[in-house]
Amino acid sequence: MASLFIASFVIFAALYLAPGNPVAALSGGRPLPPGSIRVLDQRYHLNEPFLAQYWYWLDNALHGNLGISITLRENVSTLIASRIWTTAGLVLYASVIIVVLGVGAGIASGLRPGRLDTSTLVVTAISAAIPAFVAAIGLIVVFAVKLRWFPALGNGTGFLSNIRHFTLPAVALAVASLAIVARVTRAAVREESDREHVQTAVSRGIPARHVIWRHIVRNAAIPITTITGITIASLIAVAAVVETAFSLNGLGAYLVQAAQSKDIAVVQGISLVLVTAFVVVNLLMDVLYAALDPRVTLGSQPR
Amino acid sequence: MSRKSNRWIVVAVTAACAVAAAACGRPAPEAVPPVSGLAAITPPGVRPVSSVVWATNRDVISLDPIFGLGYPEYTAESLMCESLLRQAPDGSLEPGLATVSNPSPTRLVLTLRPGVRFWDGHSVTSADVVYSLDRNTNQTLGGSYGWVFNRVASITATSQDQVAITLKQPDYWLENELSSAPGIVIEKSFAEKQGKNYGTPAGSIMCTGAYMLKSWTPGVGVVAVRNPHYWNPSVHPLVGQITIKGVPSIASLTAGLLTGAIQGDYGVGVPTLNQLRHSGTVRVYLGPGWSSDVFVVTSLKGVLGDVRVRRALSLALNRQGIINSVYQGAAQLPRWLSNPGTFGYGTPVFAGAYNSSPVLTQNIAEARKLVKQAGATGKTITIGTTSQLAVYAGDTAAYEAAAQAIGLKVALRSVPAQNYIDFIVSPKARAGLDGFPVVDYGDDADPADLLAQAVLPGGLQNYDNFNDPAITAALEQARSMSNPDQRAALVARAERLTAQQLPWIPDVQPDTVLLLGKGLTGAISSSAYLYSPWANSLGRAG
Amino acid sequence: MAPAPSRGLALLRATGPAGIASAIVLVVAAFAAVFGPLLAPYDPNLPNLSLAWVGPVGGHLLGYDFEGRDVLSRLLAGAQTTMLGPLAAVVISVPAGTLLAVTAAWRRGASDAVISSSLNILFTFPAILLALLAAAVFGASLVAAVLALSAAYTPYVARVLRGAALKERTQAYVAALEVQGAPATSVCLRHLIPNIAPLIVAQATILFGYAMVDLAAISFLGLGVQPPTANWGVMISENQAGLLQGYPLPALAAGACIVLVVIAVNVLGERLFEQARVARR
Repeated sequence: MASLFIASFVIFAALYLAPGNPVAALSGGRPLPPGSIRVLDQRYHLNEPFLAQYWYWLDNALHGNLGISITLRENVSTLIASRIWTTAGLVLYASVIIVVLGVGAGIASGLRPGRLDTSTLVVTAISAAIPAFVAAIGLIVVFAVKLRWFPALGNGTGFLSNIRHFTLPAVALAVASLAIVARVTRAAVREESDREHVQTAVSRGIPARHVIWRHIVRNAAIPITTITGITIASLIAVAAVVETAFSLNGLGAYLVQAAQSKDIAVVQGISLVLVTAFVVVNLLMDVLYAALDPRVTLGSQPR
Repeated sequence: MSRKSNRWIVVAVTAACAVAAAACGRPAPEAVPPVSGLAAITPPGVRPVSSVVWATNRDVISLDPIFGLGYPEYTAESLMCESLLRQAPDGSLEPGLATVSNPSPTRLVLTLRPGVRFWDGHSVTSADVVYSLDRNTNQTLGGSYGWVFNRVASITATSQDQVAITLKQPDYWLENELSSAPGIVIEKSFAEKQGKNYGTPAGSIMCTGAYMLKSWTPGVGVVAVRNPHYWNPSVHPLVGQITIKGVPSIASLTAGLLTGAIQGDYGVGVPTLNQLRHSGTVRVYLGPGWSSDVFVVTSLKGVLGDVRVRRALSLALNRQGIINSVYQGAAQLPRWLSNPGTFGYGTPVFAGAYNSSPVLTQNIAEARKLVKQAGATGKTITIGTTSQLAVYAGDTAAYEAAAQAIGLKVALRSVPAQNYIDFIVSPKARAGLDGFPVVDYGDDADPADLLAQAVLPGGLQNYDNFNDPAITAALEQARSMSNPDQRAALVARAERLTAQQLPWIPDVQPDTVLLLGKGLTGAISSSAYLYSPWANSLGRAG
Repeated sequence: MAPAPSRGLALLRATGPAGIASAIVLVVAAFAAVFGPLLAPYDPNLPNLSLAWVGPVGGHLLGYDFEGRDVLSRLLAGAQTTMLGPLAAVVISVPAGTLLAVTAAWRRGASDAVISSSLNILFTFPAILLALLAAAVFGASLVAAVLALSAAYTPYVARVLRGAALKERTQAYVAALEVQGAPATSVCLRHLIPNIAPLIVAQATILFGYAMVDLAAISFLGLGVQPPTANWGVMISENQAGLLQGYPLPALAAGACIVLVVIAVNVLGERLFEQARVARR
């Protein structure tokens, strides 16, 4: 929990120092009369010293009030709540793709050097080199406009409709992150395959499936779990580009907008969500570590 | 094994090259034929439509008319709320919720029309009018239009349906402003109960229009439904539900229009017009525009302080290139700073003066001479820009080309799109800049509106105290001139002088772009859509 | 032992045709990075809107971009910033991440707690904020972008390696070496790190690709490489409207260059590493 505090402080400081002016975003391109600027500065404590501003925010946050968005003049909690399910759904969908395809490809190519392996190297390199917005545009042009298999924008209503609407964005989101998961998995599996105990097992005639599961994958599981976990946890930030490209109202896109218009309360609020997501994923990873490899004790993981 | 995969790679790369080569660029450039006949309206719809999704370039962030924020907010507000006076599609002034009379040059009387009602059925009273107007000047609310009322001495309700405005000086620009956002009337009792939630997602609004607010979820959209009890019996709204949705991505906007997921959009900065024109699902309408694409000079103490250098830069600019590649033909070559679509009064006078003014065309030889005369060869100008907004990136490119052609150097200061506004509102952001491109527009169909902001001392966008006494005199006189034709003549004089002094360099005059799904018709196709109900005739074609 | 150059060549030959092809690509790319601006047939920075989007014609092999500039010239001129920045980001973040991970895994306890918490905090910084901060402190430039990227990638590298290092730490041979009195740095450098090296190499090669794309995103916002400086990734972003309008060549050409270089780095990197390990055994 200490990391929550420190994170919020550092992010607040970063936003404070960054260039830009929250009142500017409110002006819509017309210079505001000085009286109005004064009023807005007062309302949002914009002219007060840094620590005082941080204290206002912290005090409110501890009482469950995440403050008010300067741009929308609405409660940050409400604004986050209305967007969180979109991002959560998108991230979940993309995670499934990443785990299935990424880990799957990594294991397959790690176990068999050769043509499959080179293809995986090439494909993961390509997917790492394609920016998310290019993937999005490509998917929209091909699958939404030309083939009409998927809708072009929006969330859809109802579960099945949501899945249809989220497929293209989830693929766009997963494409970029797939690469590192597949490659780290491949490296870990490769490394384990070369270990003595595996060679011994093979030479003793133990069936391949058994060898793969018990000896290789389970031992490679820690780095695989780690990279998958942190990739998924960081999807919210990567989601910003994809959400914008598909006009989905998600937290990622909103975070970037708010950061650039210095809507401090919103940035803090969303960052809290991010930090919490990391903490949760870390906990899950710790549990998995312990389950997968008892030699690595739970106690050595920090909270 | 490795050889096979090697071959695979080669094949893949060759295939990619073939695809790329096949999808090549356009052939060598040809002149895009000039667009003629801009229409301010589309044929009215005749049959009902159950639901229309209307896109804007970003999400709506406020429904409170005292904050002048941008296209999405104006589009949403003008759909549902009405002003005291109204701008017709061609820009001329007509009665809105009230009629206006001028018993004396310093007195305006607004008389509410019989039967005007809010959505909740309450009649509009003079108390509502006074309340709505006063909100603009209430400092604690932080509205943008305080300056509009700077010649107003008092606003009082003289009877249940009459409001008198007394002025310190004659002000014939005020009527135009009352036909725009500052003149929108909201219900006093409703707004007072809402308090600071009025016009925010947490609250609601109460207006008089043919479409009323059903719900507003940030990120999802503003949903308006037909008002079955609209006070004007001659208007029959045909659409059951209009959803205004922010679609910031050009890819999903284009895809949405092509697939019919989006049925309408006032295309602000849409680079895919040609594709949309050639599709079977969308019609592109071009109407008179009110905005001007200009280069705002922010420092008259630097290289651009010399009028010869400004003229040179203007002469070197490839405006036709901007029209073709940035606007895909949906813009005009300028003669003045203001867009000819804004001639909403004194039209014959304006048209005559405009047509006798020279078009700003390209003449590089002349430009180079001017630069040499001014001794500015080799000097650097610093331009504020952003890569993220295609219009500004394109304008910047044109200025880079122009500057290099006449012997000037260019340094760019690039910022994220969200921070572009800082150039407009923050002196700190402008420090060290010589200028930046911007597409700007006024509150109404009056060329003086935008012009005044640029050239009058104290004008909101007059960044370095430009002051030409002749221009200032003409505009100040115009503001106090009751006769519209004489007013037009004064403003025309100011425009002509401005076109010689070039405190702002006009780039092009954008047309209003209306994108409508096939089968729909009736939306206003001039920039009057920003401030007047644009969907009152929207419906399916016959 | 054979002299180094022929050892190197033998290593290269052992990577197979894919590896050799990658090496050639990288040599060409490096050549472009060094001599690109001199080789460019036309001025890469001179816009001409009348020629915007025009396809390959005359001496312009790849046509013109959205501002009417010669695409091939921009590709040549942009090779430098495109590859230098990401290289620097990887060269900074991978060793830094490795160092932090191994220290945390080796020492455990308080050191681990401090390092891991700090990395968690760094993790939660949206990359955009890091870029904004770096630009605010150092002025928007390639340097600022590289620092922001390095700060963003270090936690990634560190987290993955920490887990692997922790597991490695518990292996029998480590305990045996400790009992024999081998100093920690020696064990780490000679045994622990080489055993997690495949993960390090995998991350380094992929991060190079990510860095190219992320640098482009940061620069497109105006926080990194400044316009009109050419950069392949920024060329993709600048010309993205063309993808929608039917003029995909400028964006695709730049994208193809990035993809080729990234593939080459990945294939050659992995193959060389494998051969080196095989040779070492």
